[in-house]
Amino acid sequence: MAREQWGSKIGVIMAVAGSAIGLGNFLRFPGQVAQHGGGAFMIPYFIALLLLGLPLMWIEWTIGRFGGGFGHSTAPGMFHSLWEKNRFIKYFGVIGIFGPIVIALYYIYIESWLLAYSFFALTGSYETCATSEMMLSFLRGYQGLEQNQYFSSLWPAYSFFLLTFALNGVILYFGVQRGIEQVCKYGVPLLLILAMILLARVFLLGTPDPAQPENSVLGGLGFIWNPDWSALTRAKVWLAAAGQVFFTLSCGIGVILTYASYLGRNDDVALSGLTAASANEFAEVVLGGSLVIPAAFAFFGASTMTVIAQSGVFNLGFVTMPLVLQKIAHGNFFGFIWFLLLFIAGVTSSISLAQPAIAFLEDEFNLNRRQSVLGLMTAIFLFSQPAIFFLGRGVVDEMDFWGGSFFLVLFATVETILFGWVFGMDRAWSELHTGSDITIPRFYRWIIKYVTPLFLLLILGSWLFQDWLPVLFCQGVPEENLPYIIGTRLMLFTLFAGLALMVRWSWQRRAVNSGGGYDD
Amino acid sequence: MTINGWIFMGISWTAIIGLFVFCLRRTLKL
Repeated sequence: MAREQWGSKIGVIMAVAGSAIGLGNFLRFPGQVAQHGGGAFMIPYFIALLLLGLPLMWIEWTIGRFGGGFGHSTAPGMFHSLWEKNRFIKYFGVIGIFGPIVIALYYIYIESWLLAYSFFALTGSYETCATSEMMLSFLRGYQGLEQNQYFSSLWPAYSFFLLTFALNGVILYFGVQRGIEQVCKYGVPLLLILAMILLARVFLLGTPDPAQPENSVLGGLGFIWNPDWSALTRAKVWLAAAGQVFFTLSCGIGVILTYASYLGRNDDVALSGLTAASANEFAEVVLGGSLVIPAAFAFFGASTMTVIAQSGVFNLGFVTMPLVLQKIAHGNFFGFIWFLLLFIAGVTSSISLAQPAIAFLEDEFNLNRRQSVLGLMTAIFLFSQPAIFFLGRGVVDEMDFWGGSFFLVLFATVETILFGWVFGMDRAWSELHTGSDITIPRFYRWIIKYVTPLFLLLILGSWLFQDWLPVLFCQGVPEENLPYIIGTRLMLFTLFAGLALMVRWSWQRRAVNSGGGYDD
Repeated sequence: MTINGWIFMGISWTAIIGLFVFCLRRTLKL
């Protein structure tokens, strides 16, 4: 079966950028900056971007294109191609399929909230919610966490989930070039335009209440950007900056590997990786940093803003922003734009999460596109039900820990060591520059080989001891939620083991077909 | 917003917009 290919260079760049631009750019980033020293946060942020983010981008683009040359679109085959003598490395590559599936299990559901809220904004469904408490109650009612005057069942949320799920399935069914590429080629510029429209509106807010001149958009920008130099002496701030850079670029998930595998042998990866990263940074620093917090600050002021910034990304997006936009003229329209842009950002990310598993089924089991999409979407649909029905039991947080945090950093650390040390820096550098449209400064050889892996090991170690061990041992989990957490872990373990078995079968089949050339 | 705030925002925006425009121009061969 012929492998799929991208139709254009800008198409693959938009697809990778679309995968990276998500809720984190518009909601997580401004909260992180405001909490960790304002403008001073940007010093560790930019250092992490140069030493961690860009090298990881180039590593993943290069490994992806290299693996694609051997007919592999996913990490098990790619890692095997990088380290042929090691029999077990392909099983480690399973993370590159497992991680994105786990994220997709809850991400598509959250994405469906955005579609629902776009609809609610247009129809004025939450117009009666005049306070944060009422808006939060609206959200909790929608999520099925409580029955209230706004919602009496989970069915509205489930209907929007089915709609969003079907949309993802249809896009994926059309394939890499006619589905993913077309959606991202138009979707990413559209979401950037929508964000710029909203940005212009937010900047025009000025000082909404002349009686409180300190509550202004400029004050909000100051809340984000005024530097607190003492933050630079705190290790936590440096780790937070590295974490933000790492998560925002969608590295360590396996998606970039798969997308890059559809490139030709002499297609550029150096400039493409940089362009995708810069598009993501534009969406994050310029647009994301100027929307939610300045708007909320202008209406609520500094003290309330601090509470809001620390209350979590969902509250910023689903509670604060609709409240703010309701207060301005044509608020329904701007509310619609806000949720639509987040929904588009969500769709371009969720389709990327499904692609590695689809590619795995196509490459290693010779299934056609239709069979692969049907098989994967059925599995995602079944496994995502706990995230919908047991949201209040910590199931989504548990999935996010494994798929969206723990395995991501582990995977990135191993692939970086594989690239710079096992594959070898000379070959790696030459591979990175094959067909390249730019020349990367030579000191990046040194950074990729020494600095990036050390940086990742440092992050892995600190997070493991500071944040992850309590989660691993379920510390602080209410007793009534424990069965749900254990159930989720069992489900994820079954999924991982199933994928590992599939890798084993696939390699055995290849070994038979190639007369023993593929060792197991 | 303080002067330092303006400086940080200005430098960050300039660096990122500059990089984005440079990359797009090279990619699209403009």
